[in-house]
Amino acid sequence: MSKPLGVGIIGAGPVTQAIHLPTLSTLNDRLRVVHIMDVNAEVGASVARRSDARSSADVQTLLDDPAVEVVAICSPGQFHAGQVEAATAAGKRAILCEKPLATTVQEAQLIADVSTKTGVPVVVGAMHVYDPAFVAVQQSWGDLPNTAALVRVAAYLTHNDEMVDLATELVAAPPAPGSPPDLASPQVRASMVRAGVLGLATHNLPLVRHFLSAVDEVLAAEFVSPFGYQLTFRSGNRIAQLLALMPGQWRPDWSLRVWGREVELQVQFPPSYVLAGSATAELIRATSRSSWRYAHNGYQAEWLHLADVAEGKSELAIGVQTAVDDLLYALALADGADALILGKQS
Amino acid sequence: MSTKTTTTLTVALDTSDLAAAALHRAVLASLPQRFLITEKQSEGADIAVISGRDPSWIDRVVAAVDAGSKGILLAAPTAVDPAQIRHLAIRFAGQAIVAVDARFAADPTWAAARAEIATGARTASLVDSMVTVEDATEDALFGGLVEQLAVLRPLFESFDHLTCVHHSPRQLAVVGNSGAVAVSLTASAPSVSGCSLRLDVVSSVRRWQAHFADDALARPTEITVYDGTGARSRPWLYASAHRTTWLQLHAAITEEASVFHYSVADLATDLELAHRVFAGSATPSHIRNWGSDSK
Repeated sequence: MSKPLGVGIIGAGPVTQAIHLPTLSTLNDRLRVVHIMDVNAEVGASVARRSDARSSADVQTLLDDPAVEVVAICSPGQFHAGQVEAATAAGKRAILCEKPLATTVQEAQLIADVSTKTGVPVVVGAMHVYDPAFVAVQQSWGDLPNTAALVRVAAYLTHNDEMVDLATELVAAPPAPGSPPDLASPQVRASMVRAGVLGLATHNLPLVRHFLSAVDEVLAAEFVSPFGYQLTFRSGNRIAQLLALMPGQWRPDWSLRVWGREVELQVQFPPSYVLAGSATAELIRATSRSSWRYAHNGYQAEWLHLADVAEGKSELAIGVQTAVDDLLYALALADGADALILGKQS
Repeated sequence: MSTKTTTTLTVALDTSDLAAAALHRAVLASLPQRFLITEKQSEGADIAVISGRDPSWIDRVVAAVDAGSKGILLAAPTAVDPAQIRHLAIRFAGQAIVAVDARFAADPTWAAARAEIATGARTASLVDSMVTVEDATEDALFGGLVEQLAVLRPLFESFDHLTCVHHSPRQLAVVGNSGAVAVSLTASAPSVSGCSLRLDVVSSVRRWQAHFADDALARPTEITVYDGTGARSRPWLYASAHRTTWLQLHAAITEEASVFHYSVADLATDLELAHRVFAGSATPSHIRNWGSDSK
């Protein structure tokens, strides 16, 4: 068996602590955390100690570490493009870039361009895209992408902190929230919906894009208190409806449903953060039901794929240009929602 | 076994609507002491089933009552004109009972849970309803909208800005609010998994989920509330809304106990509301205050 790949992680926040470190701990024979960087040196050092890894407070030190073979970029979105560029320049074997890929189209395209130019593969963090059940069901869904008439995603979720607390013991709690938003303001509601699209809906929009190739028109957009949205958009005569509400005190429920002419798809996703296995995907036909469910979740599958790609065992399943297009799709939805909420569109 | 003497009422099915006739023949087979199907047409039967799909349905109701029927079961009710329904209710007041066959709104499990859910719905953040109907026709989609309103309207005092945002041969999407509650209603056709209505009423504290499946006559409606203590489901009841309505119609005729889960007045209100939403897809419908006849 070959030596595990050395992983360097940029950013030691809750996503790194609650998602990537627990996930990587299950893949220790393939990937081993060797270096963690955070601008808060104390947090970086504390988190690194948990993995017996080195720590640093600047990106270049991590990139200069020869033990770092693949890089996970888990910093705020506005830093992603520059850090991907630096990691490719440092000759790393592969990069995992957390969502959102970037905050602007230009930055996203820069990431795609440097990946293409240097040949360094970039996997974009998208747990539902890589979910083993969702990947498997695609082999059996036949012409569903051509016949789907209606797609619905419902995300009724608990507070992220609850799941984070179940996944790790967080170093440095997130900052206390500021004053409550003025929800009477359309600008505030629009910005909340945008945050929902780019922060939450973004997990599922690449899946929705299998069935609705473009956002032709946003038909309805509304902020749902305390945090959520109700969105309806159209691609030709097909519609997608996205509903979300969080936090709730109930059992989470995160589902994707697609209605085609002769088959229906139902996917029930586990919540983020916890190692609760894959989604349960079910294909329903007039006289039969087939279902898929695996022990690994989307994060584990994503990391395993990254390792395979870095070791040359596999081609990149989802090219970075696809991820850029996914981002453009999300931005089109967010812009259309903005226009509706702000009354720019009759 | 029933020991009480029960009056048996004769029923004339509507042979112009074979689907409705087959459905009610099967339903009535579970109530053989209360009902006896007569192969004679409506003349002389205690109860006449009249399908709203027949354009002359109102004339046939009049004829049946004139011929002595004490009760009418209006099948396929979403196809009828609301003004005619109101007229019918007034015309036959005190003379004959008109019952509405509503497959979701009159569901006994829903009726038992409705008051509790209504209390929660008024402080919910989001109410989402989705119905799959039999056919990809405008009538079926419209019927799906009426059926959703029939279920949802008792939960709220009013809707604001209920607007049809999408209308295609296979889908109908309506959004709006009731106060601070975001409301979404979708009708889609057809579905390989059969006709059903799914309803989510979601607040931060509690989430209700109702699934009315109409793919089998006595498929139980599943109603579950999720909260911080876990999940609690309503008992499964293997009885349809159709059967419940027949029981209520029997009681209304023989005991003068008229307590329908879904009334003629409810149907008229829901049809009017649906027509306004359907017709006004380009402009928001501002719909408030149902009026006193909605209950």
